[in-house]
Amino acid sequence: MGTDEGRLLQGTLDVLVLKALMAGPRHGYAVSTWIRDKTGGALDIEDGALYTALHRLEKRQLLAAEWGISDTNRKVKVYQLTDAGQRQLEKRSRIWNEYADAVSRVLESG
Amino acid sequence: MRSIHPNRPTEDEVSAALDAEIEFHLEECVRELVEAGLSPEKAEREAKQRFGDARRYRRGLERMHRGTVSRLNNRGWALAHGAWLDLRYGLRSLVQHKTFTIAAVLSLSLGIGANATIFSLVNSLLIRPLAVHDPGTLVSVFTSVTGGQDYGNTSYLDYLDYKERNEAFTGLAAYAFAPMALGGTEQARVMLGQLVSWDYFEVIGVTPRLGRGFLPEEDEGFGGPTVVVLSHTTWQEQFSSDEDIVGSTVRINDHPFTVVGVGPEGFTGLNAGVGAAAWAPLSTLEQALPYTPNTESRVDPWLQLVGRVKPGIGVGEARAGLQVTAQVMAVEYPESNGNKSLVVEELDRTRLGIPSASEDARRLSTVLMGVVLLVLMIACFNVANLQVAKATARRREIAIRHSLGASRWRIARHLLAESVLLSLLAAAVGLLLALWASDALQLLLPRSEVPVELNIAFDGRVLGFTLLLALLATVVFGLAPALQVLRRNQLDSLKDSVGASQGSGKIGLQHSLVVAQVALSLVLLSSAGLFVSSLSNTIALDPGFELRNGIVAPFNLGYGQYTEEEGRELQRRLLEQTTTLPGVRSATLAAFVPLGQIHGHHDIWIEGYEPAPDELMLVKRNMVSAGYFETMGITVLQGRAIDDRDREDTERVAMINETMARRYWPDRDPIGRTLSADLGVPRSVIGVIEDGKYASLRESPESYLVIPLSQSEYLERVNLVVRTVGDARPVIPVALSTTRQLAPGLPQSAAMTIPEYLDYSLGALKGSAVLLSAFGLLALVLATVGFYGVMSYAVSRRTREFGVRIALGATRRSILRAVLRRGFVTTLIGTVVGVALALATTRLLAGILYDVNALDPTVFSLVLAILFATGQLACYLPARAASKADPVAAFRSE
Repeated sequence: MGTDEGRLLQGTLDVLVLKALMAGPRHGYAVSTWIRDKTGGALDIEDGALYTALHRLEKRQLLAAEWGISDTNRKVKVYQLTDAGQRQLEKRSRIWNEYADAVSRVLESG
Repeated sequence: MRSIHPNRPTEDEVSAALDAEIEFHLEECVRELVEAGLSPEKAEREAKQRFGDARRYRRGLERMHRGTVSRLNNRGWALAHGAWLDLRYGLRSLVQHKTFTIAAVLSLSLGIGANATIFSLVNSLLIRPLAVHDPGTLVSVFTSVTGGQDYGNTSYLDYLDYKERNEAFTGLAAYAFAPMALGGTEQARVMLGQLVSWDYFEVIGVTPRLGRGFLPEEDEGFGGPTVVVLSHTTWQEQFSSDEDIVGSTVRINDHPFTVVGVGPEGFTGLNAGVGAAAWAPLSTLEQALPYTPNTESRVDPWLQLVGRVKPGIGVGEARAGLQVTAQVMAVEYPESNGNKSLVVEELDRTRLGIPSASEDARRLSTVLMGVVLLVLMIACFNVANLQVAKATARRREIAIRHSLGASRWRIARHLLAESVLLSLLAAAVGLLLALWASDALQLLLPRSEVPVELNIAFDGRVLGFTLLLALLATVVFGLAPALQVLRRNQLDSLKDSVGASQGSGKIGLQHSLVVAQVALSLVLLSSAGLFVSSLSNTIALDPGFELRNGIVAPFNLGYGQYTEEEGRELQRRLLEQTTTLPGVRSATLAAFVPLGQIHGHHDIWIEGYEPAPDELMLVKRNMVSAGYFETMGITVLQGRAIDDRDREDTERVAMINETMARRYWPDRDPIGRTLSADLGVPRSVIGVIEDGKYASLRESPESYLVIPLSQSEYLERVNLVVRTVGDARPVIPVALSTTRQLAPGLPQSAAMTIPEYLDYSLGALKGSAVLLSAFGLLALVLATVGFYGVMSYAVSRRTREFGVRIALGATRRSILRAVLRRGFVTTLIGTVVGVALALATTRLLAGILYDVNALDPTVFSLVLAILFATGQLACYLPARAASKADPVAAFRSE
């Protein structure tokens, strides 16, 4: 995997994760199913990469994590957006949309 | 929701959190995929594939957190915290695998309990320091008589001289065990007390808990003030810990005694085996002793001595100093002290009496400790076997955790933590079992005239030993699976499907554990068998009297206040009345009964016999009333027996046994010859009786002298011996009510039937045989259960193979036989190893066996038969299960 592609993918994954948590707190597996459902499996994201993203975002305090008890009575780590995460999501969404607009404009022109 | 890790987690916490998060993810994923219709195996494969390279991701995540984990500024705390996490994990796992945990704890706690029980006994007898001040500077002093006892007691006059003349001791105290009838208000109970010199407590440095010890003026001459110090136990149990007891009056042998003190807790005297219930000054001997030692002679040894060596003087110097004193006295009193010398031993070496008693106890302890350690090993092998079986079930779990990046070290630590918890749990249960069992140990003590209780205490040493054992056990059964994890490539095992080939290595391991169990069981069972056969050889020895349907009842007027005249009259009436009781064939009185705990000895002089210079003219003797030989069933070989003709005012007579006749009149007829015993009164020999056993069944013949009770000094304590018409048991209460009528104030006599009496003469032998047999059986049960477990596990792993074989035409009978054969081979190997081990260990046993070859073929064939029978029994159920394997199912699941 090339570095640029990697960085691009990493940025994309971060946005997806932040987005997944916009509706409320979820544990890692729920984030993974959400992304899989929303993308229809088009993006082949390994779950391991997803956890790397979750932990990275948590470390950058864009996410907060808490331990709770699942329905199956297991200890489970639940992530939610922080205010900073919320702002980051909005900013990234804007950038992504501008970027996507720019790209589509370029592709449509000409 | 609660936060479980606030700000700065440790590395272990990070790892644990990652484990928990990823495991949860995979489980959820697999669950949903299975719900969606995938098989568990496929779901698992899919979940793992979706996760990607878990190990790499995990390493990345750990790296990411490395900056935030708390640095190990407090390494000890971090380690403790890590251990706590491991233990928590272990606990969860134990709860999850309940059946395993229960089976393992049961097995282990039996092994640990057996060890704790025996160790608590050994600790009390041999290890626990005596509760005295600075025991290192205390010594026991014995009088040794040339040609006589090496470690004898000391006479009263000698004691006074040693005390006065020695320069090595700051104090030399004397004490003597004294059975006492001790009572407050209710019926007196016979207990073992001690008479002590006034400075006893001072010399050994024991301060009473209440009141005081004795004063010098309380020990001047005889007939002093009747004062007593109670032991802590007596005070608690008989006087319900009465804080105001000092100054009150208790009764000892029906005499009033004033309580001046209560001993400190834990102090029961200087004998680790037998504790004293109360202490009274030597000066009260007439009241407190139910027999009367001769205090004006140097030849009646009845005192034990304990001395405190002066600071700066070694035990060796003290010994040399006393030796000089003894030599000086030998010159001054050549008659009585010419052949006496003094022996000084460190107090701890005499904690069970004479030093050889400690050595005997040590030998028996070694055997018993060895036995229980082997039992524990068998139990450990059981747990190891369970672990191996569980490991297969857990293989998946371990493999998943490993593939998710949990390090082998962490997994190994978790397994170890689980084992540690398991053994701690087993140690706790084992200690409870031991508490109960050590009470039961008291039941193995032979009954005796004066009740004796072993001082078994559960102190820190027992606790420490038990914990140490538990940890050792962990090493035996817990380390192997942990190491296996560290070594093996667990990733491989995920790819394995459950097949016959996979388990074969483990089943090999399990079979070797069973081989070890069978071998150890053989060693234990054969030791028990040898011991029991040694005991039965001893029991089969002829005690020298024929009486079996009968009673021995000690009748001790010393426990009350009776004059000699009253006493002799009471004894005469007792005999008279007993003889007329229903069920009584004949009755007699005797000072001693053969094989009892007390014996009389006499210095003798024989007319016409010239003793060799160092020859000890000392024989055991008895004083009996008419009818003794007839009642006891002792054959009179020559002359006549003592009968009603022998009265105080008739000619003094004596009877001797064969050995004595041969020794002193080798080629002459002893009848009519003259000898003198005790006070120098000449007696003529009227009869010769057959030899008997006097002190123990295993002794070789020794000289024995019997004189009429009517012609001897007055004895306060005699034994009533009764020959009954049939069963003796119903006669006991009748005889006791007779004694109660005659002497109402006396404590109840410890009457026994003759078989009970013979049992008691075997002392600790019977108890040891019971213990060894119990442990042998325990070993057999543990090993059999283990064997059964392994066989059923092996069979369950091979059900499909058996099914296929049956489908291919094998008969169910042949399958049954094949499994049984496998079990037979395992047993066979085990017994071969066991016999080799037994050969190597017999030397340890040789010292405690009597008249049994350590390789006794009867014992060994019996043990082998038992082992093969139980081995085949253990295999039978699994074998039947194998023969019922379903051939159709075998193919369907393929």
